Amino acid sequence: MSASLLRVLWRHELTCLYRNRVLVVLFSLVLVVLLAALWAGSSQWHTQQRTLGRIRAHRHEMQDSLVQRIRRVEAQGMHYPGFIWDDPTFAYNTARNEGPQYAAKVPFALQALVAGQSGVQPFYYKVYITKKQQLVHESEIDNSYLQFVGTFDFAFVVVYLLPLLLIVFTYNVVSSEREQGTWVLLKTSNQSIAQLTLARLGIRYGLFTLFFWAIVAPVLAGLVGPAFLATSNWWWLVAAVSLYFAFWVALALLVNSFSLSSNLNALTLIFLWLVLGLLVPALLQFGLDRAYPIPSRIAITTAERDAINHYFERDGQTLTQEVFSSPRTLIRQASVVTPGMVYGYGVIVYKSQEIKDAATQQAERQLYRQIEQQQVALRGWQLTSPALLLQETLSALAGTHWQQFNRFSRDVDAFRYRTQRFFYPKMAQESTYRTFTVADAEAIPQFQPRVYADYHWLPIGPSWLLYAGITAVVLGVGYRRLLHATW
Amino acid sequence: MLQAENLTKRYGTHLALDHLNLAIPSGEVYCLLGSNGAGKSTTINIFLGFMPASSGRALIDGLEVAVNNHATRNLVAYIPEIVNLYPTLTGLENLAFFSGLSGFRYSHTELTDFTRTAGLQAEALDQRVSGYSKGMRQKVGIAIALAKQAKALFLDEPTSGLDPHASNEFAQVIRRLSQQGVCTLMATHDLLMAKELGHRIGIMHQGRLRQELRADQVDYAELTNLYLATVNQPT
Repeated sequence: MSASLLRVLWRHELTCLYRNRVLVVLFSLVLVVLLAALWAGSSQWHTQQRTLGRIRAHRHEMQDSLVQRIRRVEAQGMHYPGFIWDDPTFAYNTARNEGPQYAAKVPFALQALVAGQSGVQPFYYKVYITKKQQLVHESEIDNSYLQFVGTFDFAFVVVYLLPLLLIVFTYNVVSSEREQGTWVLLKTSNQSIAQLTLARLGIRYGLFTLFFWAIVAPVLAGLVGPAFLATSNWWWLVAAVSLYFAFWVALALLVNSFSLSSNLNALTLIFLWLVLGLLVPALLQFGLDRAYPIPSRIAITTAERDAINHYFERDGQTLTQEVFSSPRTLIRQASVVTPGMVYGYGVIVYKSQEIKDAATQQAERQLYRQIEQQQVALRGWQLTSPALLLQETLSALAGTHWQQFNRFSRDVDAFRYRTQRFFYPKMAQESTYRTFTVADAEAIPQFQPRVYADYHWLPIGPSWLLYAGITAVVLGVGYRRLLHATW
Repeated sequence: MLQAENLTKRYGTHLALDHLNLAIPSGEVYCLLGSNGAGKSTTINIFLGFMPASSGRALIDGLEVAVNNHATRNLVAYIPEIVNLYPTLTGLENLAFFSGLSGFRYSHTELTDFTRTAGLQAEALDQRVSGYSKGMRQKVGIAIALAKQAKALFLDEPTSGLDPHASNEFAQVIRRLSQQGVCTLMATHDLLMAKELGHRIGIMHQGRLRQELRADQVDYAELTNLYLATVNQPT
């Protein structure tokens, strides 16, 4: 097909589409929805950035306050005039009061496009030596996990709404010619109908995709800054979404090649959208939930409680007796809280925490294993639905995939263990009980916030290469049918 | 220019076209008369490559349509009973598109000249086709044929539903094209138009060419009688 013919078709398509009021209205609506999704996503991104700023400020404030308080105690000959449980020179008190640190996951710019798991997974924790406190949905009894889209965001618009617009854009590229009678004049031109149709669909696809990125890229750059443009995540995202659009256009070509009416074409394509976009994912979710059920959070709580009960009923008795029978703790005789008592609680807390951690590890491992098994099984079925594949790809590229939240969560666990290792020896220092110094305060471990947007664990390239192949086959079959069409 | 050699078309057991033999030289207007189902449109459709013949050959400028469909489409233009165009485009835009598809790129002035030759009023050029009358659409169809520089023109009931003035204008344009060497095969029920416009007239009945005569050798009354006698023949 010559360049001049492509120019003729380009101009023709542009004029016809521009003058189609239904399409113009639909485009405007989708534009509004798309902008709303981008705005919503970027708002969440900005909120997280603000929270991170507040966390940083809070950390410096707490650190300064702790250092000053310890200095005052030291300056007054280790005399602490206040309530004993607030005395910062007790490692246990500091671990409980100023010691807890915030661990935050820095939001990646593309998170503005894909909420992914960020609707249900915390992006920061307050880390105690005894627990990592989730500040989002802490009271949930279920382990939050979203396999598919659950939030209104750019990904929802792309995965679910835009295929519908593409269907409206392409469903009648052949049938409308036949219905309005221009088919006859097209057939008497010396062009192949198959080539003309392919070129026209190609032009419509190009127009749609260019228009889409011409809106998304600058708006996103304006909302969250242009740095994302330099990341490979962004270019993979562009490639995956563009290929997803191409799949729907290829499907439209195939359906158009069956010589059905425009209404039937539209119905067929909408049916395919329902099956590929909604029905298959829903069935897979149903099946996977039964094959690999996600354990309830109650299981973790129960495991923790059972372990503690078991500990205190047996080994714990020995420890408690040991700690509280010591003449230094003087717990039995004391009618007021004594330094020994503070020390004793500290030791019990750290001993029992080790038991709790060991007990919950198994339940946590079971949770992670089930989710991972769901994901692995799902990847085996991903070719049955491009919506599924795109959803996971987008989440991974935006840094909001479960794997990335899980890595953050595990990093927080590691940070908590580091914090424990820092505090426990000081809490168990029996010689004076009050060993926590300014130097210790300045050495309290800090979590290094970082972006979790690495996606090497997901085979994005091979998966999409395979889908490119499927798209090419669908396109090829449709083209071949048109080439040999006798109608 | 146009040649049919034992052209036959069957639809199952029904014989739509029965060994048609026809030769139309350049510049000649050949009118095919016949009742509905006589085989006129089938003949045109085979020449246009819209459907394959069951047997026999259709040739345009010596090229067999079934073998050189792509090349023969370069040589032809088709004006059906209703010329359907893109309703949201103007007459001029439709003309630019269809001539562009055939590989011709014309300036605005050249396109306007084609529409003027076809008889389309200048003020209609920039109006959307959705507001065009049937006659105006026919004129755009002729302009497309002119722009395509077609050597053979196929007309299927082109004047059906046109008022006498529009029919007359249409006939004049076809005559001009004929003088320029364009060969025309026209299927029609309009005996008067066939008599006035055609050089030769063929009367078809039940897929066969039953009569063939020169238009200048019969008057309208004779043609009418001959036509009625032919189409009323028993099977």
